[in-house]
Amino acid sequence: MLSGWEALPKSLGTYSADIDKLFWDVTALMTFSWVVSTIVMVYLFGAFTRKEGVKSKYVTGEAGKQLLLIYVPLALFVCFDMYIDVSTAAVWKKVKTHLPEPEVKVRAIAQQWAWTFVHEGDITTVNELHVPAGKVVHVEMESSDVVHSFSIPVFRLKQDVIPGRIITSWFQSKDFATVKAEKASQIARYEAGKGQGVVLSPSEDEEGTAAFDLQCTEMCGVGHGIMAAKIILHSQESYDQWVANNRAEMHEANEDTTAEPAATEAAPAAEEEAPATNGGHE
Amino acid sequence: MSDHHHHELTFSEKFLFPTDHKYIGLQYLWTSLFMGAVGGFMAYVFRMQLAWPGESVPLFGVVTPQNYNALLTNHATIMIFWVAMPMLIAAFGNILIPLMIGCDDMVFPRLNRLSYQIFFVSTVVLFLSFLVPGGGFGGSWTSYPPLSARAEYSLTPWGSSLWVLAVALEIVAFLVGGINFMTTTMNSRAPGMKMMDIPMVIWMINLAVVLFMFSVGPLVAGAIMLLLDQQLGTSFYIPSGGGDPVLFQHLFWFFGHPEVYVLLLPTFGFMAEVITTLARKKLFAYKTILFSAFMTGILSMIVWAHHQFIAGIDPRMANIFSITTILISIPLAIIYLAYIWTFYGGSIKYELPMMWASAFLVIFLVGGLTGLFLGSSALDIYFHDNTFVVAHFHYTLMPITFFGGFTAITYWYPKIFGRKMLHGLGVIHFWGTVIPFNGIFIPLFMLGLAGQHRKIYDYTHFPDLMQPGFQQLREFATISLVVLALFQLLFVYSMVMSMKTGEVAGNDPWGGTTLEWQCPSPPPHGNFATLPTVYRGPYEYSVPGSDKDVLPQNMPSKA
Repeated sequence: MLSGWEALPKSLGTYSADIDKLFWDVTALMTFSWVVSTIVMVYLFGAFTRKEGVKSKYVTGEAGKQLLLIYVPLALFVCFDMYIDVSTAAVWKKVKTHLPEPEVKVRAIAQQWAWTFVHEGDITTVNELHVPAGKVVHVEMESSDVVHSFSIPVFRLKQDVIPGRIITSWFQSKDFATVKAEKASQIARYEAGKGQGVVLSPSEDEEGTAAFDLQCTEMCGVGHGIMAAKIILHSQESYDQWVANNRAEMHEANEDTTAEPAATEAAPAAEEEAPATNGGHE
Repeated sequence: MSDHHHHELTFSEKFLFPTDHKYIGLQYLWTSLFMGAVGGFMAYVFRMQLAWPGESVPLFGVVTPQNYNALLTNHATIMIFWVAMPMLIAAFGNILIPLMIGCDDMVFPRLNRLSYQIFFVSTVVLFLSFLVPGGGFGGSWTSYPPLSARAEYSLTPWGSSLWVLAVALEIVAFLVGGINFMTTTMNSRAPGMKMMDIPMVIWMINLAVVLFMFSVGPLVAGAIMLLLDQQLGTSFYIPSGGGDPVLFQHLFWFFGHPEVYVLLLPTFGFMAEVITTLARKKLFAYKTILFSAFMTGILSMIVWAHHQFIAGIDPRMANIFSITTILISIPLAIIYLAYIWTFYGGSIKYELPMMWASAFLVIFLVGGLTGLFLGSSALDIYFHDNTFVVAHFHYTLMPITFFGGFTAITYWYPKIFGRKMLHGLGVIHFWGTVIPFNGIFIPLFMLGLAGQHRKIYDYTHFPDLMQPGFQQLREFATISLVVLALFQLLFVYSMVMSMKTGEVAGNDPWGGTTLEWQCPSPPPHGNFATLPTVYRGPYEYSVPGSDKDVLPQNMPSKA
């Protein structure tokens, strides 16, 4: 079985390690609080079990000295709270308040129940977000129907996608070698454990790419459970090649018709393709 | 007031249309237990689907995505509005308030009857919402628009509206009942019972009612606008018509977060009664607990946007809500520490209620402390809508509702039915609940860490969530749930059997101080033969200088 300590997936973004560090700090403080409280409680439960002839003590808890029993541990807990508040503000600022200059921009259009991604040069894909590893990526999110949520667990990135607004989020993955190494270890774990119950093979990668899950994390209707997409991280050469190939294809496709803005086309195109893409996973 | 004392109630006056607070309380209790079984069955069906996707579930059949969403949505709705609230507040509020403040009934008995009748209608409307074309509402209990506001998105044209209507009726029932609780507590206390002599559970239930009333207004307004969006095509929440979907989220959570404390406070009240009586101890720092509960209530009104950290609110505002959220741990820690120190120097008897109370303190603490992960806006980025959250709030709400409910039921059962619950069966049921409970939700913490998101009917579309070991955890959680559910049958059996074969209780089986133990078990119509007078606060056990073990509130002090 999966052990708790290895459950958290390897962080593959530049700020995911900050979130992980905060997580382990809070885990340490809260585990300490729970263990100490529980030891005290279990001791009291046991030590003061009813014994014949022993009367209980009369303690009001209102006297100043007795209240110290509350306020001294409380002071320690308030310190924990303050530590969490301060570190939270720092991490939050880095991830959500601060927006670094983009090196790559992508539009993400959510709809029931697929993601449409518009890359540079209006290259449009459904349920596949292609980005070069190691670059600062801005994702401009919009929704054409209900509230969705854009989540990439390996980057610890999540942002609700609200119809009527364009919300920009950012991430920057680690360099391609690191990303690929994590993918290799995921494959190794799969090879080692594929006999144990129901297991799926990791997403297939082409040369120079590594794919991870991209989720919709806000209930968005009947198809919410199948609104699955991938983030495909490319090495720089692979990305350039991918862009070039797609440009060439688009050029051929657009020879006869005048190019229309991709945004208006994106929605109907996705609707047709969504079932096929989802079917492909089964 | 006294002219309707001592007459025998007819069957209809007891069970169909009672105005006696005890029978209305029982109506709420039976309904909530029945709804608990319904909500539990829903959880069983969708957890089976998660463990063995696509396979036919015994007693249900194949679970479609629409089924899954509707079950998930209504499981949450039922557990909060039709189990936790009626059991913790309405049932025990009704049974305990007049008995513990020493009066013969609620001040508005017919309003009280109306409260249950509206509640009953709300239950019927909720069940109807499954039978209409399109099926039951599946947009999650948070019912965020535009999904909930337009049939073309939710695909449940009637289910959504009936669901909103059912919740709205339930809220009306609680408003009516709440007015009664507050008025009764303020006006009908036995002579001599000053504010600081009121038993803690009565304070807590009243605080819960006040908090509910303060917070529910915006939700009602929000729900009306949602109904208009659904049925008349208005655009309060639809951006293309000039509306704002996030507005609903604010209105919803302005109610939704205080609601958690509305449920928590009554259970904290049960703990105070049970711990003091069965440990023969005065409550440690009564006033400090009370003022901390006030603070909790006030703070809980300004934390709501922590549900929306990543929902498109101004990221700078998240810092403020993160701080208020973490801050609320302070009054709660005070209450907790006071309860823990109440055990010190006690003479603890592990009767069933005491077992449940001690389990509550240990297990609820896990839920409370994991809340600090989620109150941190930065960690919420990862854990929002993740099963870590699911595990967290079940570690709070299940101990609150069920451990708290079992504490109260086992403790006041002798008062209600005249006999104690069977101890041996109760012990088996206790372990059969506490152990599998952890078996359900520890895996959800782990899967949440691994990035598993919520409300997904089939994880096989997500390769990163189908790594070796992951599906086994889901199966383990589901099996634990089935085990837990089976042990609940034992509780039902025990509740019925104890009425006939339980140890006869007498007025005061636990040796309590509060007034409900001074009247017969079960109390007759009118409760007290002569209405009591109160001479002191509750929880006077082992008072120095007194030769008695206990000084009940109504015992005159001989100077």
